[in-house]
Amino acid sequence: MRRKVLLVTFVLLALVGIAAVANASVTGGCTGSAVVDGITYGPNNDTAANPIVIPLDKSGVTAAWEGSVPFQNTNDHGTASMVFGPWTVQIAEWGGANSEDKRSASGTYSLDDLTAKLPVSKSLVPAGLYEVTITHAADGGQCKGTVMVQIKGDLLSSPVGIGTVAGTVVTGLMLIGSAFARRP
Amino acid sequence: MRGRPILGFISGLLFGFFVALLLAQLGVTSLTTSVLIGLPIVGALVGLLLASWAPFGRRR
Repeated sequence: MRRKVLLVTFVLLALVGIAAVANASVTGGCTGSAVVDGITYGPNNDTAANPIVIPLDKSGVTAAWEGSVPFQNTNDHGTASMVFGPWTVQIAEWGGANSEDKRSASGTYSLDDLTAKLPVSKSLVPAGLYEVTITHAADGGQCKGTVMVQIKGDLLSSPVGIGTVAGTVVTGLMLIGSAFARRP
Repeated sequence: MRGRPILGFISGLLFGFFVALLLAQLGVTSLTTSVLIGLPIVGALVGLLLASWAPFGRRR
């Protein structure tokens, strides 16, 4: 009975950890938005239930973006990075002297640039949910924010997805196999 | 320990890793450090517990 309670406790801890993931916010008072495939996204797209949808299966898609900061913005520098567990991959970088102290900017970002920055080819990028952290710092202050990005696609359409399903099934069976009592 | 603890530990570790990848690809959660490291650790512990409990294949 005690072992059953321990087992249930570990499973519950795992579920609580997953639920606690989507709690992002933007600090520093910066604002921004991006239009991807006709849909406008902003800082509120920071949960697994409300992500920015990226149609990576389409080629030539560009995102129109704009952003502003509430502080002196000279000598600014910013980055956007995708999170893969303990590692991050920088997908965009901006900044400069900005001696005119411009506090807002806009432009476009090609999704082909995104795939070019990833460590694997476009066909190997698995569909799924990814966290993107965005930072911006200047002489007058700094901002940090997180958004969730959903790369569209079927689970079984990429080699990584097929490998993941196969690995889950095989290791799940091995896990059940470990629970069979040995003969004395 | 009636089951197979080494098999339970290793398979639980790998199972947790693959479940983390699967959840990310299904859009349930993103691959944060707590998910990618935490789930394999939880899986390994569950594997050890299952091996020590060994509810299957017992002779009555």
